[in-house]
Amino acid sequence: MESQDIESAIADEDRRYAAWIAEARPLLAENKHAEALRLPSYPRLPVEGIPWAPLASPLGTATMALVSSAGIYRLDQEPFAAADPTGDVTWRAVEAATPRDQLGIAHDHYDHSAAMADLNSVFPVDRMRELAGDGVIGALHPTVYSFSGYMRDLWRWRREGAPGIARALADAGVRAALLVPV
Amino acid sequence: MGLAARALELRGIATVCLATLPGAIAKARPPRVLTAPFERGMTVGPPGDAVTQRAVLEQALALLWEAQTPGAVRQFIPQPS
Repeated sequence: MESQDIESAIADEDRRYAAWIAEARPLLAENKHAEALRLPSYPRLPVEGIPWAPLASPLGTATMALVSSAGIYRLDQEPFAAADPTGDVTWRAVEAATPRDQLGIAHDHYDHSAAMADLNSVFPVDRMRELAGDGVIGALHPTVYSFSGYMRDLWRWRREGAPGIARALADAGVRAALLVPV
Repeated sequence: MGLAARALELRGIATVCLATLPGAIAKARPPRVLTAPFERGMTVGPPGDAVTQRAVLEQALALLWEAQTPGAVRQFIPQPS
């Protein structure tokens, strides 16, 4: 697409999202998510085909990245806007070696009790390091990419958030990733 | 998470995605999905159960290695203890 067309497509996405969220916000604030998504103004996100990157090297030599949507952040980073009924489309880079007591959870849409008891239930850094130590994978990429999976502006996430993580990993030479939603 | 999977694949990064509900992630059509029968909030397995968590990750990695076609969905098979 020409850049003018891209700009106009983005403006159109923003316009349709703004129209829907204005109507949906009171429902979302009351946790009526299904009703909000059923509004006729909801602009469905078209999904075409399934992209496919083959694994570039055997697992035993691959550096694997971990991507989590559990809302994990480092306590010296800005927490995700968990209380915002429209969600948060930003992401954080968190060193896998960050001590557990330096990590927080900002995500208001799942029960944290398992994660508080054992973060590996949603953020399996220890398990991935063990797999690397045993040679099942080559290594765990030292940076984990984290976001808070509740978000309503999926168009902006698709345009800016997700590609930002992809770019950071590609620039680091990473060719394989484990994705852990909640 | 499906949209993240798609963005990574477009950059040449092979992904495997975990899920607790088969339908939860289907709409965004990521290329490889391992579903595991745990409650929301413990995608990788119950807290303190390192054996199950590891088995989930090993089966996800096996899918990453073995899947040949986009849209591969496999269920976690619990290991006999």
